[in-house]
Amino acid sequence: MDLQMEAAGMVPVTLTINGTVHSLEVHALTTLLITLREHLGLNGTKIGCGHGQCGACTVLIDGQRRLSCLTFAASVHGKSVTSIEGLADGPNLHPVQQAFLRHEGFQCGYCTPGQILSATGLLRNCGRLGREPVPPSLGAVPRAARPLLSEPCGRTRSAVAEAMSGNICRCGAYEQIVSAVLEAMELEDAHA
Amino acid sequence: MMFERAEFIEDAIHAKSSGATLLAGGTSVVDLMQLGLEIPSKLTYLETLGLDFIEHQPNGAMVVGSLCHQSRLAHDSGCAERFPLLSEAILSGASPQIRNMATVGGNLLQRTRCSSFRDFASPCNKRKPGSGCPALEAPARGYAIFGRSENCIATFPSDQATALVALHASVTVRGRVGPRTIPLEQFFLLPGDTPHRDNDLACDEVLLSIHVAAESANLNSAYVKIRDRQSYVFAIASAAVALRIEQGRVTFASIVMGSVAARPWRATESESAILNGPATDETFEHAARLAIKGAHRVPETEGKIRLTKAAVLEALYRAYRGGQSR
Ligand SMILES: Cc1cc2nc3c(=O)[nH]c(=O)nc-3n(C[C@H](O)[C@H](O)[C@H](O)COP(=O)(O)OP(=O)(O)OC[C@H]3O[C@@H](n4cnc5c(N)ncnc54)[C@H](O)[C@@H]3O)c2cc1C
Ligand code: SF4
Repeated sequence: MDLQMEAAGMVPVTLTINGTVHSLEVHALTTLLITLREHLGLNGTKIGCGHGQCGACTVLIDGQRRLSCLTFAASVHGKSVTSIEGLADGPNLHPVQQAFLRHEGFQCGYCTPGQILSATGLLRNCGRLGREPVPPSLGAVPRAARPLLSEPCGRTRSAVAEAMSGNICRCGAYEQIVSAVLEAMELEDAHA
Repeated sequence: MMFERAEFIEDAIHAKSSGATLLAGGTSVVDLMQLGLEIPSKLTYLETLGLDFIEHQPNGAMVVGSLCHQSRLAHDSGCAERFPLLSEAILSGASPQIRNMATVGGNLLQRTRCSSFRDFASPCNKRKPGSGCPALEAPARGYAIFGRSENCIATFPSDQATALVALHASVTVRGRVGPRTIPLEQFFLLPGDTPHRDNDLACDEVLLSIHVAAESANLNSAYVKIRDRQSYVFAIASAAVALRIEQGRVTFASIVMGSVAARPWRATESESAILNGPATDETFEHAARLAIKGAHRVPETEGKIRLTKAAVLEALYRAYRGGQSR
Protein backbone atom coordinates (compact mmCIF):
# COMPACT_ATOMS: atom_id res chain seq x y z
CA MET A 1 0.00 0.00 0.00
CA ASP A 2 1.16 3.52 -0.82
CA LEU A 3 2.67 4.97 2.39
CA GLN A 4 1.09 8.41 2.01
CA MET A 5 -2.27 6.86 1.38
CA GLU A 6 -1.87 4.66 4.42
CA ALA A 7 -0.96 7.60 6.65
CA ALA A 8 -4.15 9.37 5.61
CA GLY A 9 -6.12 6.23 6.45
CA MET A 10 -7.04 5.58 2.83
CA VAL A 11 -7.52 2.01 1.63
CA PRO A 12 -7.72 0.76 -1.96
CA VAL A 13 -10.93 -1.20 -2.42
CA THR A 14 -12.33 -3.13 -5.34
CA LEU A 15 -16.06 -3.77 -5.32
CA THR A 16 -18.41 -5.20 -7.91
CA ILE A 17 -21.46 -3.00 -7.62
CA ASN A 18 -24.55 -4.00 -9.55
CA GLY A 19 -22.31 -5.99 -11.90
CA THR A 20 -19.73 -3.26 -12.56
CA VAL A 21 -16.24 -3.44 -11.06
CA HIS A 22 -15.18 -0.26 -9.23
CA SER A 23 -11.69 0.41 -7.90
CA LEU A 24 -11.83 3.10 -5.26
CA GLU A 25 -9.77 4.67 -2.53
CA VAL A 26 -11.82 5.12 0.59
CA HIS A 27 -11.04 6.04 4.17
CA ALA A 28 -10.79 2.98 6.42
CA LEU A 29 -13.80 4.26 8.41
CA THR A 30 -16.03 4.96 5.41
CA THR A 31 -19.13 2.83 5.47
CA LEU A 32 -20.46 1.04 2.42
CA LEU A 33 -23.57 3.23 2.75
CA ILE A 34 -21.54 6.44 2.33
CA THR A 35 -19.43 4.86 -0.40
CA LEU A 36 -22.53 4.02 -2.43
CA ARG A 37 -24.21 7.37 -1.94
CA GLU A 38 -21.33 9.83 -1.94
CA HIS A 39 -18.56 8.16 -3.91
CA LEU A 40 -20.69 6.46 -6.52
CA GLY A 41 -23.80 8.65 -6.61
CA LEU A 42 -26.07 5.69 -5.92
CA ASN A 43 -28.59 7.43 -3.68
CA GLY A 44 -31.19 4.68 -3.75
CA THR A 45 -29.74 3.16 -0.57
CA LYS A 46 -31.22 5.22 2.24
CA ILE A 47 -29.69 6.57 5.44
CA GLY A 48 -31.97 5.71 8.33
CA CYS A 49 -30.81 5.44 11.92
CA GLY A 50 -27.14 4.73 11.21
CA HIS A 51 -27.03 2.20 14.07
CA GLY A 52 -28.47 -0.98 12.59
CA GLN A 53 -31.87 -0.39 14.15
CA CYS A 54 -34.07 0.21 11.10
CA GLY A 55 -32.92 -1.71 8.00
CA ALA A 56 -33.32 1.22 5.55
CA CYS A 57 -29.74 0.78 4.33
CA THR A 58 -30.09 -2.94 3.50
CA VAL A 59 -28.12 -4.12 0.45
CA LEU A 60 -27.10 -7.57 -0.79
CA ILE A 61 -23.47 -8.51 -0.25
CA ASP A 62 -22.57 -11.68 -2.15
CA GLY A 63 -26.31 -12.35 -2.32
CA GLN A 64 -26.95 -11.96 1.42
CA ARG A 65 -28.93 -9.12 2.94
CA ARG A 66 -26.81 -6.95 5.20
CA LEU A 67 -26.74 -3.43 6.61
CA SER A 68 -24.52 -1.00 4.73
CA CYS A 69 -24.45 1.49 7.66
CA LEU A 70 -22.52 -0.93 9.87
CA THR A 71 -20.26 -2.24 7.09
CA PHE A 72 -16.97 -0.57 6.23
CA ALA A 73 -16.35 -0.52 2.49
CA ALA A 74 -12.82 -1.77 3.16
CA SER A 75 -14.16 -4.90 4.80
CA VAL A 76 -16.12 -5.98 1.72
CA HIS A 77 -13.15 -5.64 -0.64
CA GLY A 78 -13.48 -8.12 -3.50
CA LYS A 79 -17.18 -8.78 -2.87
CA SER A 80 -20.21 -8.10 -4.95
CA VAL A 81 -22.84 -5.61 -3.83
CA THR A 82 -26.39 -5.22 -5.13
CA SER A 83 -28.19 -2.00 -4.38
CA ILE A 84 -31.71 -1.03 -5.42
CA GLU A 85 -30.34 0.50 -8.66
CA GLY A 86 -29.15 -2.97 -9.72
CA LEU A 87 -32.34 -4.97 -9.33
CA ALA A 88 -34.34 -4.17 -12.45
CA ASP A 89 -33.41 -5.80 -15.75
CA GLY A 90 -33.43 -2.77 -18.06
CA PRO A 91 -37.00 -1.51 -18.20
CA ASN A 92 -38.30 -4.68 -16.53
CA LEU A 93 -38.69 -4.32 -12.81
CA HIS A 94 -37.57 -7.19 -10.58
CA PRO A 95 -40.48 -9.47 -9.54
CA VAL A 96 -40.18 -8.22 -5.95
CA GLN A 97 -40.42 -4.59 -7.14
CA GLN A 98 -43.48 -5.52 -9.21
CA ALA A 99 -45.10 -7.21 -6.21
CA PHE A 100 -44.49 -4.11 -4.05
CA LEU A 101 -46.15 -1.97 -6.71
CA ARG A 102 -49.12 -4.31 -7.07
CA HIS A 103 -49.73 -4.42 -3.32
CA GLU A 104 -48.76 -0.81 -2.61
CA GLY A 105 -46.15 -2.03 -0.13
CA PHE A 106 -45.18 1.52 0.83
CA GLN A 107 -46.51 4.94 1.67
CA CYS A 108 -43.76 7.57 1.84
CA GLY A 109 -41.32 5.16 0.18
CA TYR A 110 -38.26 5.95 2.29
CA CYS A 111 -37.81 2.44 3.67
CA THR A 112 -38.79 0.81 0.36
CA PRO A 113 -35.33 0.19 -1.18
CA GLY A 114 -34.27 -1.55 2.04
CA GLN A 115 -37.52 -3.51 2.22
CA ILE A 116 -37.18 -4.67 -1.39
CA LEU A 117 -33.53 -5.66 -1.05
CA SER A 118 -34.35 -7.47 2.20
CA ALA A 119 -37.18 -9.38 0.50
CA THR A 120 -34.94 -10.19 -2.47
CA GLY A 121 -32.24 -11.54 -0.15
CA LEU A 122 -34.85 -13.61 1.66
CA LEU A 123 -36.17 -15.01 -1.62
CA ARG A 124 -32.69 -16.00 -2.74
CA ASN A 125 -31.86 -17.79 0.47
CA CYS A 126 -35.11 -19.20 1.76
CA GLY A 127 -35.18 -22.17 -0.60
CA ARG A 128 -38.05 -23.25 -2.80
CA LEU A 129 -41.10 -24.65 -1.10
CA GLY A 130 -40.55 -28.27 -0.12
CA ARG A 131 -36.92 -28.38 -1.13
CA GLU A 132 -34.87 -26.31 1.23
CA PRO A 133 -31.13 -26.55 0.56
CA VAL A 134 -29.91 -28.75 3.41
CA PRO A 135 -26.40 -27.99 4.61
CA PRO A 136 -24.31 -31.07 5.48
CA SER A 137 -24.62 -31.77 9.18
CA LEU A 138 -21.63 -33.91 10.03
CA GLY A 139 -17.98 -33.03 9.64
CA ALA A 140 -16.44 -29.61 9.03
CA VAL A 141 -17.97 -27.97 6.00
CA PRO A 142 -15.23 -27.35 3.43
CA ARG A 143 -15.04 -23.64 2.56
CA ALA A 144 -15.51 -24.06 -1.18
CA ALA A 145 -18.37 -26.54 -0.98
CA ARG A 146 -20.54 -24.41 1.26
CA PRO A 147 -24.14 -24.15 0.14
CA LEU A 148 -25.77 -20.77 -0.27
CA LEU A 149 -27.01 -19.67 3.12
CA SER A 150 -30.34 -21.18 3.93
CA GLU A 151 -32.95 -19.02 5.65
CA PRO A 152 -35.93 -21.38 5.79
CA CYS A 153 -39.18 -19.42 5.70
CA GLY A 154 -42.70 -20.78 5.65
CA ARG A 155 -45.24 -19.33 3.25
CA THR A 156 -47.44 -17.88 5.96
CA ARG A 157 -48.05 -14.25 6.89
CA SER A 158 -46.52 -14.68 10.33
CA ALA A 159 -43.37 -16.40 9.00
CA VAL A 160 -42.92 -13.68 6.36
CA ALA A 161 -43.51 -10.93 8.94
CA GLU A 162 -40.78 -12.41 11.14
CA ALA A 163 -38.41 -12.86 8.16
CA MET A 164 -38.99 -9.21 7.20
CA SER A 165 -38.75 -7.90 10.78
CA GLY A 166 -35.34 -6.34 10.17
CA ASN A 167 -36.97 -3.50 8.22
CA ILE A 168 -38.96 -0.86 10.05
CA CYS A 169 -41.68 1.07 8.18
CA ARG A 170 -42.70 4.24 9.99
CA CYS A 171 -45.81 4.57 7.80
CA GLY A 172 -46.89 1.14 8.95
CA ALA A 173 -47.37 -0.45 5.52
CA TYR A 174 -46.53 -3.83 7.02
CA GLU A 175 -49.69 -5.66 5.91
CA GLN A 176 -49.13 -4.69 2.27
CA ILE A 177 -45.40 -5.46 2.51
CA VAL A 178 -46.13 -8.96 3.82
CA SER A 179 -48.67 -9.49 1.02
CA ALA A 180 -46.13 -8.40 -1.59
CA VAL A 181 -43.35 -10.63 -0.26
CA LEU A 182 -45.67 -13.60 0.12
CA GLU A 183 -46.87 -13.18 -3.45
CA ALA A 184 -43.30 -12.91 -4.78
CA MET A 185 -42.41 -16.10 -2.91
CA GLU A 186 -45.44 -17.98 -4.21
CA LEU A 187 -44.72 -16.85 -7.76
CA GLU A 188 -41.19 -18.15 -7.45
CA ASP A 189 -42.42 -21.44 -5.95
CA ALA A 190 -44.82 -21.82 -8.90
CA HIS A 191 -41.97 -21.36 -11.38
CA ALA A 192 -39.58 -23.66 -9.51
CA MET B 1 -5.19 5.15 10.83
CA MET B 2 -4.57 1.80 9.22
CA PHE B 3 -6.80 -0.98 7.97
CA GLU B 4 -5.38 -4.46 7.76
CA ARG B 5 -6.82 -7.89 7.09
CA ALA B 6 -5.48 -10.52 9.47
CA GLU B 7 -4.45 -13.71 7.70
CA PHE B 8 -3.04 -15.64 10.64
CA ILE B 9 -4.12 -15.81 14.26
CA GLU B 10 -0.67 -14.48 15.20
CA ASP B 11 -1.44 -11.32 13.19
CA ALA B 12 -4.61 -10.77 15.20
CA ILE B 13 -2.84 -11.40 18.52
CA HIS B 14 -0.06 -9.03 17.56
CA ALA B 15 -2.54 -6.39 16.39
CA LYS B 16 -4.61 -6.62 19.55
CA SER B 17 -1.51 -6.45 21.80
CA SER B 18 -0.44 -3.29 20.02
CA GLY B 19 -3.77 -1.57 20.60
CA ALA B 20 -5.60 -2.23 17.32
CA THR B 21 -9.38 -2.53 17.31
CA LEU B 22 -10.45 -5.95 16.07
CA LEU B 23 -13.33 -6.00 13.63
CA ALA B 24 -15.47 -9.09 13.07
CA GLY B 25 -19.01 -8.54 11.75
CA GLY B 26 -18.83 -4.95 12.98
CA THR B 27 -22.43 -4.76 14.20
CA SER B 28 -21.36 -3.84 17.71
CA VAL B 29 -18.00 -2.17 17.25
CA VAL B 30 -18.88 -0.03 14.18
CA ASP B 31 -21.94 1.20 16.07
CA LEU B 32 -19.70 2.22 18.99
CA MET B 33 -17.41 4.04 16.54
CA GLN B 34 -20.42 5.89 15.11
CA LEU B 35 -21.29 6.93 18.68
CA GLY B 36 -17.72 8.13 19.23
CA LEU B 37 -17.20 5.61 22.04
CA GLU B 38 -14.55 3.57 20.22
CA ILE B 39 -11.85 5.54 18.46
CA PRO B 40 -9.59 3.14 16.61
CA SER B 41 -5.95 3.92 15.92
CA LYS B 42 -5.80 0.86 13.71
CA LEU B 43 -8.45 -1.55 12.47
CA THR B 44 -7.72 -5.24 12.07
CA TYR B 45 -10.31 -7.18 10.12
CA LEU B 46 -10.75 -10.76 11.31
CA GLU B 47 -13.07 -12.41 8.78
CA THR B 48 -10.05 -13.21 6.61
CA LEU B 49 -8.74 -15.57 9.33
CA GLY B 50 -10.79 -18.52 8.11
CA LEU B 51 -12.16 -19.19 11.60
CA ASP B 52 -15.70 -19.61 10.27
CA PHE B 53 -16.02 -23.37 10.60
CA ILE B 54 -18.77 -25.48 12.18
CA GLU B 55 -17.40 -28.85 13.13
CA HIS B 56 -19.55 -31.73 14.34
CA GLN B 57 -17.05 -34.09 15.90
CA PRO B 58 -17.41 -37.89 15.74
CA ASN B 59 -17.98 -37.98 19.53
CA GLY B 60 -21.01 -35.68 19.11
CA ALA B 61 -19.47 -32.44 20.31
CA MET B 62 -19.77 -29.26 18.24
CA VAL B 63 -16.97 -26.76 17.78
CA VAL B 64 -17.75 -23.43 16.17
CA GLY B 65 -15.15 -20.96 14.91
CA SER B 66 -15.51 -17.52 16.45
CA LEU B 67 -15.91 -15.90 13.01
CA CYS B 68 -18.85 -18.10 11.93
CA HIS B 69 -21.88 -15.94 11.19
CA GLN B 70 -24.81 -16.31 13.55
CA SER B 71 -27.27 -17.04 10.73
CA ARG B 72 -25.13 -19.88 9.40
CA LEU B 73 -24.85 -21.53 12.81
CA ALA B 74 -28.54 -21.10 13.61
CA HIS B 75 -29.57 -22.73 10.30
CA ASP B 76 -26.86 -25.40 10.28
CA SER B 77 -28.88 -28.62 10.33
CA GLY B 78 -26.53 -30.28 12.85
CA CYS B 79 -26.91 -27.38 15.26
CA ALA B 80 -30.65 -26.99 14.71
CA GLU B 81 -31.30 -30.72 15.21
CA ARG B 82 -28.94 -31.47 18.08
CA PHE B 83 -28.66 -28.13 19.90
CA PRO B 84 -32.02 -26.54 19.06
CA LEU B 85 -31.81 -24.28 22.12
CA LEU B 86 -28.86 -22.48 20.53
CA SER B 87 -30.54 -22.04 17.13
CA GLU B 88 -33.74 -20.83 18.80
CA ALA B 89 -31.89 -18.28 20.95
CA ILE B 90 -29.82 -16.94 18.04
CA LEU B 91 -32.90 -16.57 15.83
CA SER B 92 -34.66 -14.59 18.57
CA GLY B 93 -31.91 -11.97 18.45
CA ALA B 94 -31.50 -8.84 16.32
CA SER B 95 -32.69 -9.15 12.68
CA PRO B 96 -31.93 -11.40 9.68
CA GLN B 97 -29.61 -8.74 8.24
CA ILE B 98 -27.69 -8.39 11.51
CA ARG B 99 -27.47 -12.17 11.98
CA ASN B 100 -25.96 -12.44 8.48
CA MET B 101 -23.21 -10.05 9.59
CA ALA B 102 -22.77 -10.80 13.29
CA THR B 103 -20.29 -13.48 14.24
CA VAL B 104 -20.74 -16.03 17.01
CA GLY B 105 -17.59 -14.72 18.73
CA GLY B 106 -18.48 -11.04 18.32
CA ASN B 107 -21.86 -11.72 19.90
CA LEU B 108 -20.19 -12.94 23.10
CA LEU B 109 -17.99 -9.84 23.16
CA GLN B 110 -20.64 -7.19 22.45
CA ARG B 111 -20.88 -4.38 24.99
CA THR B 112 -23.85 -3.59 27.20
CA ARG B 113 -26.80 -1.62 25.75
CA CYS B 114 -27.04 0.55 28.93
CA SER B 115 -28.19 3.94 27.65
CA SER B 116 -25.75 5.93 29.81
CA PHE B 117 -22.89 3.76 28.58
CA ARG B 118 -23.92 4.63 25.02
CA ASP B 119 -24.27 8.35 25.76
CA PHE B 120 -20.89 10.00 25.42
CA ALA B 121 -22.01 13.00 27.50
CA SER B 122 -22.96 10.86 30.47
CA PRO B 123 -20.62 9.58 33.18
CA CYS B 124 -20.26 5.81 33.24
CA ASN B 125 -17.91 3.63 35.30
CA LYS B 126 -17.81 0.98 32.63
CA ARG B 127 -16.72 3.42 29.95
CA LYS B 128 -14.64 5.69 32.19
CA PRO B 129 -13.79 4.03 35.52
CA GLY B 130 -14.36 6.34 38.48
CA SER B 131 -16.66 8.74 36.62
CA GLY B 132 -19.80 7.46 38.34
CA CYS B 133 -22.90 5.50 37.44
CA PRO B 134 -26.10 7.48 36.77
CA ALA B 135 -28.06 4.22 36.50
CA LEU B 136 -27.70 3.62 40.24
CA GLU B 137 -29.79 6.75 40.87
CA ALA B 138 -32.43 5.87 38.30
CA PRO B 139 -33.68 2.36 38.92
CA ALA B 140 -35.31 0.84 35.86
CA ARG B 141 -36.22 -2.54 34.47
CA GLY B 142 -33.31 -2.46 32.02
CA TYR B 143 -30.79 -2.97 34.80
CA ALA B 144 -29.41 -6.00 36.60
CA ILE B 145 -31.42 -7.71 39.30
CA PHE B 146 -28.58 -10.10 40.12
CA GLY B 147 -24.83 -9.69 40.62
CA ARG B 148 -24.99 -5.90 40.92
CA SER B 149 -22.16 -3.83 42.33
CA GLU B 150 -22.02 -0.28 43.62
CA ASN B 151 -20.07 0.60 40.48
CA CYS B 152 -22.23 -0.79 37.70
CA ILE B 153 -25.60 -2.49 37.27
CA ALA B 154 -25.55 -3.03 33.50
CA THR B 155 -26.84 -6.26 31.97
CA PHE B 156 -25.25 -8.37 29.27
CA PRO B 157 -27.79 -8.61 26.44
CA SER B 158 -26.77 -11.68 24.41
CA ASP B 159 -29.44 -14.31 23.72
CA GLN B 160 -26.86 -16.66 22.22
CA ALA B 161 -24.71 -16.52 25.37
CA THR B 162 -27.68 -17.39 27.59
CA ALA B 163 -28.32 -20.54 25.54
CA LEU B 164 -24.63 -21.44 25.39
CA VAL B 165 -24.27 -21.18 29.18
CA ALA B 166 -27.32 -23.42 29.54
CA LEU B 167 -25.56 -25.91 27.25
CA HIS B 168 -22.42 -25.74 29.46
CA ALA B 169 -20.34 -24.42 26.56
CA SER B 170 -16.73 -23.32 26.84
CA VAL B 171 -14.58 -20.93 24.82
CA THR B 172 -11.00 -21.25 23.64
CA VAL B 173 -8.96 -18.08 23.48
CA ARG B 174 -5.38 -17.51 22.47
CA GLY B 175 -2.85 -14.85 23.39
CA ARG B 176 0.93 -14.56 23.31
CA VAL B 177 1.43 -17.38 25.81
CA GLY B 178 -0.82 -19.85 24.03
CA PRO B 179 -4.39 -21.08 24.11
CA ARG B 180 -6.62 -21.64 27.12
CA THR B 181 -10.16 -22.92 27.49
CA ILE B 182 -12.65 -21.37 29.90
CA PRO B 183 -16.21 -22.43 30.79
CA LEU B 184 -18.36 -19.74 29.21
CA GLU B 185 -20.18 -19.02 32.46
CA GLN B 186 -16.90 -18.02 34.10
CA PHE B 187 -15.71 -16.12 31.04
CA PHE B 188 -18.14 -13.26 31.79
CA LEU B 189 -17.19 -11.10 34.77
CA LEU B 190 -19.45 -9.46 37.31
CA PRO B 191 -18.82 -5.71 37.66
CA GLY B 192 -17.44 -5.75 41.25
CA ASP B 193 -14.66 -3.18 41.44
CA THR B 194 -13.73 -3.59 37.79
CA PRO B 195 -16.86 -2.51 35.90
CA HIS B 196 -14.80 -1.72 32.79
CA ARG B 197 -14.03 -5.42 32.31
CA ASP B 198 -16.87 -7.40 30.72
CA ASN B 199 -15.04 -10.67 30.36
CA ASP B 200 -11.89 -12.60 31.00
CA LEU B 201 -10.26 -11.93 27.60
CA ALA B 202 -6.79 -10.47 28.19
CA CYS B 203 -5.53 -7.51 26.16
CA ASP B 204 -3.49 -9.78 23.89
CA GLU B 205 -6.11 -12.52 23.53
CA VAL B 206 -8.29 -13.43 20.58
CA LEU B 207 -11.39 -15.61 20.79
CA LEU B 208 -10.87 -18.72 18.66
CA SER B 209 -13.79 -21.08 19.11
CA ILE B 210 -16.81 -22.17 21.09
CA HIS B 211 -17.16 -25.76 22.22
CA VAL B 212 -20.44 -27.48 23.07
CA ALA B 213 -20.04 -30.97 24.55
CA ALA B 214 -21.87 -34.06 23.27
CA GLU B 215 -23.67 -34.37 26.65
CA SER B 216 -25.56 -31.18 25.81
CA ALA B 217 -26.97 -32.60 22.57
CA ASN B 218 -30.55 -33.78 22.08
CA LEU B 219 -31.96 -32.26 25.26
CA ASN B 220 -35.55 -31.06 25.63
CA SER B 221 -35.12 -27.33 25.50
CA ALA B 222 -36.74 -23.93 25.09
CA TYR B 223 -35.67 -20.31 24.89
CA VAL B 224 -38.24 -17.76 26.04
CA LYS B 225 -37.51 -14.10 25.38
CA ILE B 226 -39.74 -11.39 26.82
CA ARG B 227 -39.53 -8.06 25.00
CA ASP B 228 -41.43 -4.94 24.04
CA ARG B 229 -42.22 -6.09 20.52
CA GLN B 230 -42.22 -9.46 18.86
CA SER B 231 -38.96 -9.12 16.95
CA TYR B 232 -35.80 -7.03 16.38
CA VAL B 233 -35.36 -5.89 19.97
CA PHE B 234 -33.32 -6.88 22.99
CA ALA B 235 -34.84 -8.89 25.83
CA ILE B 236 -36.25 -7.41 29.01
CA ALA B 237 -35.63 -10.87 30.45
CA SER B 238 -35.16 -14.30 28.96
CA ALA B 239 -34.79 -17.91 30.05
CA ALA B 240 -32.95 -20.83 28.49
CA VAL B 241 -33.96 -24.23 29.79
CA ALA B 242 -32.53 -27.63 28.85
CA LEU B 243 -33.86 -30.82 30.42
CA ARG B 244 -33.36 -34.54 30.05
CA ILE B 245 -36.49 -36.45 30.92
CA GLU B 246 -36.29 -40.18 31.51
CA GLN B 247 -39.45 -42.09 32.37
CA GLY B 248 -41.17 -38.94 33.52
CA ARG B 249 -38.30 -37.90 35.77
CA VAL B 250 -35.91 -35.00 35.24
CA THR B 251 -32.39 -36.45 35.08
CA PHE B 252 -30.64 -33.31 33.85
CA ALA B 253 -31.67 -29.69 34.29
CA SER B 254 -30.07 -26.48 33.18
CA ILE B 255 -31.87 -23.18 33.81
CA VAL B 256 -30.22 -19.90 32.84
CA MET B 257 -31.68 -16.38 32.75
CA GLY B 258 -30.61 -13.66 30.31
CA SER B 259 -30.53 -9.84 30.53
CA VAL B 260 -30.79 -9.96 34.32
CA ALA B 261 -27.09 -9.57 35.20
CA ALA B 262 -23.71 -8.80 33.70
CA ARG B 263 -23.57 -12.43 32.66
CA PRO B 264 -26.09 -15.16 31.88
CA TRP B 265 -27.40 -16.05 35.34
CA ARG B 266 -27.72 -19.70 36.30
CA ALA B 267 -30.63 -20.59 38.57
CA THR B 268 -28.76 -23.28 40.50
CA GLU B 269 -31.37 -23.74 43.22
CA SER B 270 -34.09 -24.14 40.62
CA GLU B 271 -32.04 -26.79 38.85
CA SER B 272 -31.58 -28.77 42.09
CA ALA B 273 -35.25 -28.41 42.93
CA ILE B 274 -36.43 -30.27 39.84
CA LEU B 275 -33.57 -32.71 39.45
CA ASN B 276 -34.42 -36.38 40.03
CA GLY B 277 -38.04 -35.58 40.66
CA PRO B 278 -41.18 -35.98 38.61
CA ALA B 279 -42.06 -32.95 36.49
CA THR B 280 -45.26 -31.50 37.94
CA ASP B 281 -46.93 -28.08 37.93
CA GLU B 282 -45.91 -27.70 41.57
CA THR B 283 -42.20 -28.46 41.03
CA PHE B 284 -42.05 -26.13 38.02
CA GLU B 285 -43.79 -23.31 39.93
CA HIS B 286 -41.44 -23.89 42.87
CA ALA B 287 -38.38 -23.83 40.55
CA ALA B 288 -39.53 -20.57 38.91
CA ARG B 289 -40.03 -18.98 42.34
CA LEU B 290 -36.54 -20.06 43.41
CA ALA B 291 -35.08 -18.56 40.20
CA ILE B 292 -35.93 -15.03 41.32
CA LYS B 293 -34.91 -15.55 44.95
CA GLY B 294 -32.41 -12.87 45.93
CA ALA B 295 -33.30 -10.56 43.04
CA HIS B 296 -32.81 -6.83 43.71
CA ARG B 297 -36.28 -5.64 44.69
CA VAL B 298 -37.37 -2.03 44.38
CA PRO B 299 -40.69 -0.87 42.91
CA GLU B 300 -39.06 -0.27 39.51
CA THR B 301 -37.74 -3.84 39.26
CA GLU B 302 -40.91 -5.62 40.43
CA GLY B 303 -42.19 -5.90 36.86
CA LYS B 304 -38.92 -7.25 35.56
CA ILE B 305 -38.76 -9.82 38.37
CA ARG B 306 -42.28 -11.01 37.51
CA LEU B 307 -41.41 -11.25 33.82
CA THR B 308 -38.21 -13.17 34.61
CA LYS B 309 -40.17 -15.68 36.66
CA ALA B 310 -42.74 -15.98 33.87
CA ALA B 311 -39.97 -16.59 31.32
CA VAL B 312 -38.47 -19.38 33.45
CA LEU B 313 -41.84 -21.03 34.01
CA GLU B 314 -42.81 -20.85 30.34
CA ALA B 315 -39.40 -22.20 29.26
CA LEU B 316 -39.71 -25.11 31.72
CA TYR B 317 -43.12 -26.06 30.33
CA ARG B 318 -42.09 -25.65 26.71
CA ALA B 319 -38.92 -27.66 27.21
CA TYR B 320 -40.82 -30.41 29.02
CA ARG B 321 -43.62 -30.58 26.47
CA GLY B 322 -41.35 -30.51 23.43
CA GLY B 323 -42.12 -26.94 22.40
CA GLN B 324 -45.75 -26.79 23.58
CA SER B 325 -46.82 -24.10 26.02
CA ARG B 326 -48.75 -24.83 29.18
C1 LIG C 1 -30.07 -3.11 16.31
C2 LIG C 1 -29.40 -4.26 16.97
C3 LIG C 1 -30.17 -5.22 17.64
C4 LIG C 1 -29.57 -6.29 18.26
N1 LIG C 1 -30.34 -7.19 18.92
C5 LIG C 1 -29.76 -8.22 19.55
C6 LIG C 1 -30.53 -9.18 20.27
O1 LIG C 1 -31.76 -9.11 20.31
N2 LIG C 1 -29.89 -10.19 20.90
C7 LIG C 1 -28.52 -10.31 20.87
O2 LIG C 1 -28.00 -11.25 21.45
N3 LIG C 1 -27.76 -9.43 20.21
C8 LIG C 1 -28.35 -8.40 19.55
N4 LIG C 1 -27.58 -7.49 18.89
C9 LIG C 1 -26.14 -7.56 19.04
C10 LIG C 1 -25.47 -8.28 17.90
O3 LIG C 1 -25.86 -9.62 17.92
C11 LIG C 1 -23.98 -8.11 18.12
O4 LIG C 1 -23.67 -6.78 17.80
C12 LIG C 1 -23.15 -9.03 17.26
O5 LIG C 1 -23.39 -10.36 17.56
C13 LIG C 1 -21.69 -8.73 17.41
O6 LIG C 1 -20.95 -9.55 16.54
P1 LIG C 1 -19.98 -8.92 15.44
O7 LIG C 1 -19.32 -10.03 14.73
O8 LIG C 1 -20.72 -7.95 14.60
O9 LIG C 1 -18.96 -8.21 16.41
P2 LIG C 1 -18.07 -6.90 16.22
O10 LIG C 1 -18.91 -5.71 16.34
O11 LIG C 1 -17.21 -7.02 15.02
O12 LIG C 1 -17.15 -7.07 17.48
C14 LIG C 1 -17.64 -6.98 18.81
C15 LIG C 1 -16.44 -6.90 19.77
O13 LIG C 1 -15.75 -8.12 19.82
C16 LIG C 1 -14.40 -7.99 19.40
N5 LIG C 1 -14.10 -9.22 18.65
C17 LIG C 1 -14.88 -9.76 17.67
N6 LIG C 1 -14.40 -10.97 17.31
C18 LIG C 1 -13.31 -11.20 18.09
C19 LIG C 1 -12.42 -12.31 18.23
N7 LIG C 1 -12.53 -13.41 17.48
N8 LIG C 1 -11.42 -12.21 19.15
C20 LIG C 1 -11.29 -11.10 19.91
N9 LIG C 1 -12.11 -10.04 19.83
C21 LIG C 1 -13.12 -10.08 18.94
C22 LIG C 1 -14.33 -6.70 18.64
O14 LIG C 1 -13.07 -6.11 18.73
C23 LIG C 1 -15.40 -5.88 19.36
O15 LIG C 1 -14.86 -5.33 20.52
C24 LIG C 1 -28.16 -6.42 18.22
C25 LIG C 1 -27.38 -5.49 17.54
C26 LIG C 1 -27.98 -4.41 16.92
C27 LIG C 1 -27.13 -3.42 16.20
S1 SF4 D 1 -24.84 0.68 34.76
FE1 SF4 D 1 -22.70 0.33 34.18
S2 SF4 D 1 -22.71 0.72 32.01
FE2 SF4 D 1 -24.57 1.73 32.82
S3 SF4 D 1 -23.95 3.81 33.41
FE3 SF4 D 1 -23.65 2.56 35.20
S4 SF4 D 1 -21.49 2.00 35.05
FE4 SF4 D 1 -22.09 2.64 33.01
